Amino acid sequence: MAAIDDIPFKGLDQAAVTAWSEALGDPEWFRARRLEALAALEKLERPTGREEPWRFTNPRAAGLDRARIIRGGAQPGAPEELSPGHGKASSGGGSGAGTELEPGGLIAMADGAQTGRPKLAADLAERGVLLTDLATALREHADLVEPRLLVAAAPFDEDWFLALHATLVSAGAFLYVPRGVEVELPIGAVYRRTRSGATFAHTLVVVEDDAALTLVQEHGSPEELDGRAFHHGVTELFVGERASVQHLTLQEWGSEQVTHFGVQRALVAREGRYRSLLVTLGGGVVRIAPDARLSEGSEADFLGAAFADEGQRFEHRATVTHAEPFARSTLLYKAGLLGGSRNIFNGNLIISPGARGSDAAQTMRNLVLSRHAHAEANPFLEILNSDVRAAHAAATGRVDDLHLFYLQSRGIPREQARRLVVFGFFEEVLEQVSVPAVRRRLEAALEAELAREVAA
Amino acid sequence: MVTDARDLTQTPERINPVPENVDLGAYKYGWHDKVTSVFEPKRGLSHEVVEEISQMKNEPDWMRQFRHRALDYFYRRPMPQWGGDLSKIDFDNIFYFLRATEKQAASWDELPADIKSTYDRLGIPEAEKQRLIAGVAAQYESEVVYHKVREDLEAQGVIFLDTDTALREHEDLFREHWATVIPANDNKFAALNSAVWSGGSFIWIPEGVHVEIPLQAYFRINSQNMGQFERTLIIAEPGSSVHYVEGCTAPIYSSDSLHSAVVEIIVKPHAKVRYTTIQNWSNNVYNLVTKRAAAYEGATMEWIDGNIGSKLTMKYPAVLLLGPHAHGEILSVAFAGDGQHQDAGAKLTFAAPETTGQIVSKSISRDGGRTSYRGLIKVEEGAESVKANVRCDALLLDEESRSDTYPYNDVKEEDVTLGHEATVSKIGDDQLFYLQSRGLSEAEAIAMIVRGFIEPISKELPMEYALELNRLVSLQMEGAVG
Amino acid sequence: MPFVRLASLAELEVDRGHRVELSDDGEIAVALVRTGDGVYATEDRCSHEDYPLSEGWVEDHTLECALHGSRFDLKSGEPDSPPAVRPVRVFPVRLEGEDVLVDLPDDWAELAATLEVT
Repeated sequence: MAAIDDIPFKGLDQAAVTAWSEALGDPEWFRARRLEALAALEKLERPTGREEPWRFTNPRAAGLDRARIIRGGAQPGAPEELSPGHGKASSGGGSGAGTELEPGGLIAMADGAQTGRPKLAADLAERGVLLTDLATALREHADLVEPRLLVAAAPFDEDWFLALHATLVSAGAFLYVPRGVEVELPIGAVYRRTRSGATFAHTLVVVEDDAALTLVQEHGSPEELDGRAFHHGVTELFVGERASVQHLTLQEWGSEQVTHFGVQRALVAREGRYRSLLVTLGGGVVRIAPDARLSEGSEADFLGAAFADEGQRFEHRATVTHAEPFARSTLLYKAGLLGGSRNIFNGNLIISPGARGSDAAQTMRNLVLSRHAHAEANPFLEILNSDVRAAHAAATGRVDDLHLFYLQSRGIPREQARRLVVFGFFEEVLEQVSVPAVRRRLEAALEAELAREVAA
Repeated sequence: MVTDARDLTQTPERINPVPENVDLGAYKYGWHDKVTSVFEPKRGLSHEVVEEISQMKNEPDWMRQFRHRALDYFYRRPMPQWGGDLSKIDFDNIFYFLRATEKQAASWDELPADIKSTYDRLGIPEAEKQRLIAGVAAQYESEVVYHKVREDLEAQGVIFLDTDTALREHEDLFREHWATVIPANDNKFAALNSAVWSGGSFIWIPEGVHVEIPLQAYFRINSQNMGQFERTLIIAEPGSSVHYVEGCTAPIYSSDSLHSAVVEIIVKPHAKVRYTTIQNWSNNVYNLVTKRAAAYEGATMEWIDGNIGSKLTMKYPAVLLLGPHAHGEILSVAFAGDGQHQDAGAKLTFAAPETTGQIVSKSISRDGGRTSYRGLIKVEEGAESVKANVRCDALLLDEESRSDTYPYNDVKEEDVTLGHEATVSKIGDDQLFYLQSRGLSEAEAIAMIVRGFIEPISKELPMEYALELNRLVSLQMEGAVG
Repeated sequence: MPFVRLASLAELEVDRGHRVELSDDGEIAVALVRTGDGVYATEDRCSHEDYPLSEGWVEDHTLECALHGSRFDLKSGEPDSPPAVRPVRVFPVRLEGEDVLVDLPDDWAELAATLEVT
């Protein structure tokens, strides 16, 4: 087997994909799926930026034309623990007491390849919980993986980037929680980049009926990279009936040379509950599209907090579909923007015909902290059933002078007053973060951002 | 494709010799019978057709060139990827220019049954019906009123003509303002209109003049059939004010399936313009309109937009706030029934400090109809201390209908207060029960609730319109119409 | 700041923008415009919302952004109408026979060097 560690994007063909697949040790069924995806890729239109879904983020920021798809070769010194030791939060002082996470399981990858072996607490393993890397899952758990991977929640033939992902994915995680098992400690997955190139990573999560899970996905990198790093991550989650999944995704890339396109798709079965928290602090161009499809009586809560600094361009594009009756969903996204940054919140709330008794709300707020920031909030509704309670609200503004004045009149210096108002702004999201270590980490990151602003 | 429009216009005499014995008096009405044999109506769009249109109207050279360039823009621009379904418009099968005599004038018998029925039920008198069939809508029946209004306007120095005539008689004023708010290449359908426009209103209000009576096309000297490609230009000089009303609530049957109008309004400092439209085109019409006003310092622009008819309407009245303390407001109501899609909304662009704006949108869908609110609030760099608010509410009357809300909020300044709220609801069972227990039929109860729902907008309409709108609502709720 | 060859005269239609991309994500690009009296070069990115200026209409030594209609002076890069308020960068152009050479900033010139411009 030839050791193929990277291939160019240009000139991708059946031969190249087959060789790539062989180098990764794919089972036959997945090789076939990759080639199907390649065929689909040729038929799909590559986004140029003029299409509606890409009007806010330049799809070419992926820099694919001259990129090499890489797997491995990570720079030494990559920590494998879930810690703020990498990423923006730490460089600004986000590490420290109380921000370390004690996971029940951990899997890590860097630059498109697994690093180390997945770790799982013994008692969880005994109860049938599985945490494996992608290659192992493809080989040893095909029965669970094959009917789901890139065909059910995020079908590869749906759009160009998904087809590309299915063709090239080289690293990932498979997490399985059997029926009735409640996993108390969070399970962590770490995705790092340390060098230039394009990587495709996939995370497949299956939580059976009546089970419970908290998943924390962390993305990080050092501050300096040797060139543009494109990371395409897809997470597919299957939330069983009456199951409960909390999904925290932290974009804490240390470098602005990272372009990150993330797709998250959750299929929530009857009376299931899915809570998604996105935190975006790092990276140059970051576009995350979380998506939940709700069955009867199920619930989804989307939370988001972002802080964009000079030169960063973030897009958070959420979709919640009430496919069946009596589902409930909320969305609360907040962002702070410093000068020269851009953040877009796009919310798509879809109530299908027949989804009577739907209850949905969306709120998005951008807090503009300095001039030359560009904030957009577009809460969309598509309602095809009349028996619905749906409301949404969006607001953009700066720190309210009145609030500031009030605080200052109480003897609080202006900078601190501003800090208090900003924290107050994010409080609504922070208080709903269920993992204390993550919450503390966020608070620290906010502190760091604000400190940076003052120093500037 | 022609690469340089100037080529075509070099020697117009060669292409279309101007008839010698033309009676210039008749040109006031835009067409002349003697010319029938020379020009033949043809389907489809081309530089040749555009040249013919310009020749027929005997336009100055700059307008002819403007049309040709607009056609090039139309060809270059792709179809929009959003909004309604435009795939069935067959551009090659449309008459882009027909004279009044050639238009298929509908007779009473040819009208679709639902429209006839509406006219009867709305209690529209015979004379009105005739006018409606001719496409000339008016709220005032009497000739006396018509003449009185014209006298008043003249005394005030107001210019109110159809657009073709205005170009001829006030060329400098016209040219100064033409296409300054909506350039020919603004979007594909504005480009189309710019190439083949015909008819519409031209209004100029002198400085400090306040026109008390709402103006309508009826009061123009040349009120023809409502044209497919009407182009309206309204200029309000500093400190003046005017209210213009377009359309009518009664359904208008149009054999033309594509309507692409452009309305440009210039509201100079401290002037005020209100433009009210009620559109109720028959269900075969694609109604794609570009309407935009530029409001300068201290000016106020109000769009009142009612969308009742058409198969598909795409219309987003817009205000550009270009001077400090300018204010823009858009109140919009949309009804969509079986087979209809109202994709309407509003756009406010804040390009100056201390400007304000408000959007209120109310939409109602029933019988599988679809209403979409599509709006844009844009705050440009330098537009400090902007305050804007959007409220869009949708009412779905049954399980088959659909309502969408696509608000875009794009802000490039920090000192801005921008709020947006939207709700979607249906008529509550307990509300209905209560009203029925008071003796109202279900249809009457729903009508009452709907009227209450749209009240913030109907209260801004001239009384006759409001009354007719209310009656129309009752009819619609009964399901007796259509 | 070196002069770099970006196109041949034959590639440039009169009064029409021509785009030369320097970075692979399209963010760094130059718009070349040939008029009756010479060739002009600006950054191919509207200062309002980054739309490629090369797609717009050329008239009277201005280049109009096709998205919202701001016109930029080809010599100074200044916009003459909103919504754009900031100018775009302009670069000196030199013609050597059929070659169109543009005086680019160093980092742009480096990118241009990696292109295969025939």
